[in-house]
Amino acid sequence: MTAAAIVALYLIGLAAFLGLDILGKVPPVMFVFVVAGLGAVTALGLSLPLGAALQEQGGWLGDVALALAGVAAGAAVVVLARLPSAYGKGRTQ
Amino acid sequence: MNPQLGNTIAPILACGALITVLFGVTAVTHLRTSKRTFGLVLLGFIFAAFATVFENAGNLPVRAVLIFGSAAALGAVVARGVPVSARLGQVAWIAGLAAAGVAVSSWSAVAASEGFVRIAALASAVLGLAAAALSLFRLTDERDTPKTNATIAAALIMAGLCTLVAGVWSDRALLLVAGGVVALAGLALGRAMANAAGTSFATLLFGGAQQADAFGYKNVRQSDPEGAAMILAASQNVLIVPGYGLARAQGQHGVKELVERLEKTGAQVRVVVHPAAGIVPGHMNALLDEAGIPHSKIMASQDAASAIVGADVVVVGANDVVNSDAAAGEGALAGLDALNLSAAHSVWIIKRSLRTGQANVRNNLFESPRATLVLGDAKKVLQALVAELKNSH
Repeated sequence: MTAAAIVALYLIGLAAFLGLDILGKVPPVMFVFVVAGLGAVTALGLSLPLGAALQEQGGWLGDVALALAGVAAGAAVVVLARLPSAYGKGRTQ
Repeated sequence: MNPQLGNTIAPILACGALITVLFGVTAVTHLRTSKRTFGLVLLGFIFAAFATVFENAGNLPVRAVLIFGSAAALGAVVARGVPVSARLGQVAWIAGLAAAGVAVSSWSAVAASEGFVRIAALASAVLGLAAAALSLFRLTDERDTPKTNATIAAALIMAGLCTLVAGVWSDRALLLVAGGVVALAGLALGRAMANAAGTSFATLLFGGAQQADAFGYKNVRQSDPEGAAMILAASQNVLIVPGYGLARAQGQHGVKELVERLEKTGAQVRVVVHPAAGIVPGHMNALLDEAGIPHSKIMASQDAASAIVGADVVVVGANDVVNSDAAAGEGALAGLDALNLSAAHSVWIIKRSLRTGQANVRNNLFESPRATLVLGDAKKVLQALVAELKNSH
């Protein structure tokens, strides 16, 4: 593991620690967005290294994995896009 | 591009992507910060795209990008109808699909590996499939019961664990961290869900059928003023239904502030008065008059049927006049001509407890899929609601 990855790992650990403490106080009506967001994190984690690596090996399972991650990522972004339109200052009647 | 430079920058960008998305997710905790969530998640995906470019030394893996892009477009189309106030079951499949993706990746490694890697890949595949199955299992549930929510939190924990184990067998730090974060976040969310239901996460998951509370109700959804503010701030049409509890708490000025604040956010707000609300006929009108709420914003309950359709209704200290059985012409209060809130978009009930009203009749509205209870003194809850709405704009 490179030094950069170790530093990044530490930063992510710190962010997770701070973030999870906050997450424990999320209001029930926002659970939907947290679930969608965590789906995005999983999709992101998968699509970055694994799908591409499997694709290089020529396996169709890599394509399937990447497609599943893609559907999850697209859906998560669209669900989270509801937030600014719902609570933004420029909301229309 | 120098491959060594790419190999150094790519993990940093990838970690940046994860951190940004994680901060975006945690921003939904408050109304005022929730607007940033979408931007942060989008930024995370842009970082991820650059990380992919750097990892491939400047050459875009065209096939992978095409597959991921087309699938993302499909996911966007499928999810476009999910509303702000969606049920948890309507979005759990997103995390489930991502977990299924990890499971498929892991399965492909089972045959090609041996020893510890093979066992880890198999464990990851099984966990991923279990997470996907659990999240889809609750897809058709009609409402977010605490049990449903706990199952979905468990699915998230499994999705996280499967990603974490995939990170172990593939020796990818990013997957390891993403999995750890999702598993811990699932746990934190499960605990938050259990807190909202007034029990522990383990009891919710393994405690069998939910017991009725001290007042005989099951599956009552509870929230706080902040949660109510998040839905009301996005509403176009708000109705406020006052009752005796408002008079008792002397919260009429809070109603006026709420009306003014919601109008500033762009909603049409009206106060619906039932003639039987309060101690004597006209009690509510006198109270609203005292607070200086204009008569033009007050509506008689018999004229409210069309206004209720699709509205977000705030019931403040009223009980019998919004009894759902009575509204359907059934039960001991059948002749009361109670307000029928079944066509409302959401119903927020501000009450001290689930105790019956003056008629001593059970109110099934509390168990309605649309209803959310905000327990507390009407005046204090209204003040907290107004303060949260003020902070958000």
